[in-house]
Amino acid sequence: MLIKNIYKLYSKTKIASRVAKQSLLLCAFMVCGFATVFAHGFNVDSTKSPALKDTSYKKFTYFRFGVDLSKIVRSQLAKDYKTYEFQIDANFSKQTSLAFEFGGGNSQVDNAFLVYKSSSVFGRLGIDKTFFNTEFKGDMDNAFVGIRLAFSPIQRNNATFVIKDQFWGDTSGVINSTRFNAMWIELNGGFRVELYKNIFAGWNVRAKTFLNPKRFELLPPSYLAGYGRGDKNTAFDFNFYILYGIGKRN
Amino acid sequence: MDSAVSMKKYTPMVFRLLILSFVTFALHSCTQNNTCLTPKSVALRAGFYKTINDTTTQDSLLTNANIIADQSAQFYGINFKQTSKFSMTLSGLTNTTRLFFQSDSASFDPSTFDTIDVNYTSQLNFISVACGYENYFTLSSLQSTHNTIDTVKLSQSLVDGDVNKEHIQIVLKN
Repeated sequence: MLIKNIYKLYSKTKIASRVAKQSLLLCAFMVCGFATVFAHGFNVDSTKSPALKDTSYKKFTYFRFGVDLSKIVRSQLAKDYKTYEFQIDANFSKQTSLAFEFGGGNSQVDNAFLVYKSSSVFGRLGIDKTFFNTEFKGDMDNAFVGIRLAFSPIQRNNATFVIKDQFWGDTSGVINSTRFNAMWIELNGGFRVELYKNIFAGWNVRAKTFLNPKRFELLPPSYLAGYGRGDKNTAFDFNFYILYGIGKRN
Repeated sequence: MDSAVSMKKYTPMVFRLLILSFVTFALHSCTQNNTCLTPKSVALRAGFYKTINDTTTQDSLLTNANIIADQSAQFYGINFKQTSKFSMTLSGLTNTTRLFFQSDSASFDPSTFDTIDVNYTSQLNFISVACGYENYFTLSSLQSTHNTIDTVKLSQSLVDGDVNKEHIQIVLKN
């Protein structure tokens, strides 16, 4: 009996050890994959670590102004919305930068059940933290993750609706125009690379969720600038920025 | 920063960046969908019962009966064969829907006919941008004639998308 229990324990330990080993391998694989994709700058040099503690670091000395090219392309391709988006960021510490994004857009719904137009502007404020150490002074190529808080005033025009009913006949009506505000938070991640001196390119992916979803239960805009589909409580987005930087790099 | 060195260093990175951008953009594009795929299932659900004793009723299977809606834009009727439950949409154009109940579809004797008036108010419920609105209903009262029907009871007043609710119990005379 004792031997049986010891064997069971041994087996469990062996399985646990195998699982742990496999998990470690998986993690290592993911890290390696990530490092391969973003290989640039993944050069941990212990001799550089004292520089990271440099107290002479000056905040807000280098600013980047950018435009989201993906939104321009999507506005041309999409039939039902137009949107534009800009970004300004500034260095805050060695590994963090403050970001302010803003933009606007309009959308229209014209289907068998609903007809209405809406427009919105938005502002997002947040912080990005870079992943990797810099390779040389002024190196700004990096991957980052960040968080944003966003606010958007929305104007929705009168909406005409039709409820189709083959037996009783269609019901139609008008929902009056309204103004309301949206708030949401975002987690984002992405990459910036300096193509030429002071000219940067890079993408962001974003996951967003409304902080006031109740407000969108009556009739949301089909496309909310800076957010995406207004009738979804969570949204995913993609940006491709071209940025121009000015100022002094630390 | 030497530009030749920079270009050499950056070019593969830019290439990777473009590929990843394209893939992410393509994936993102796939998530856009403006087709209405939500099934609309708002209907009044009712069941026929017969009285066992003063406090108990049980399902009453109808062998050959009809329910026909009055004032519908086109014929709207249900023929029951060995069933005791039915569902019907309510009119969003009025606050009352009248149903004709024919206990035996083979008989045109007036004593086999009854009417059931369902009174309600309607509320708009937003489904999605692609599907628009649907009507939810709050039942307020029921009236019926009593040729074959004993009583009509309101068991659930809110008629929404819940397909498990039975809103009306129609108790037939024994």
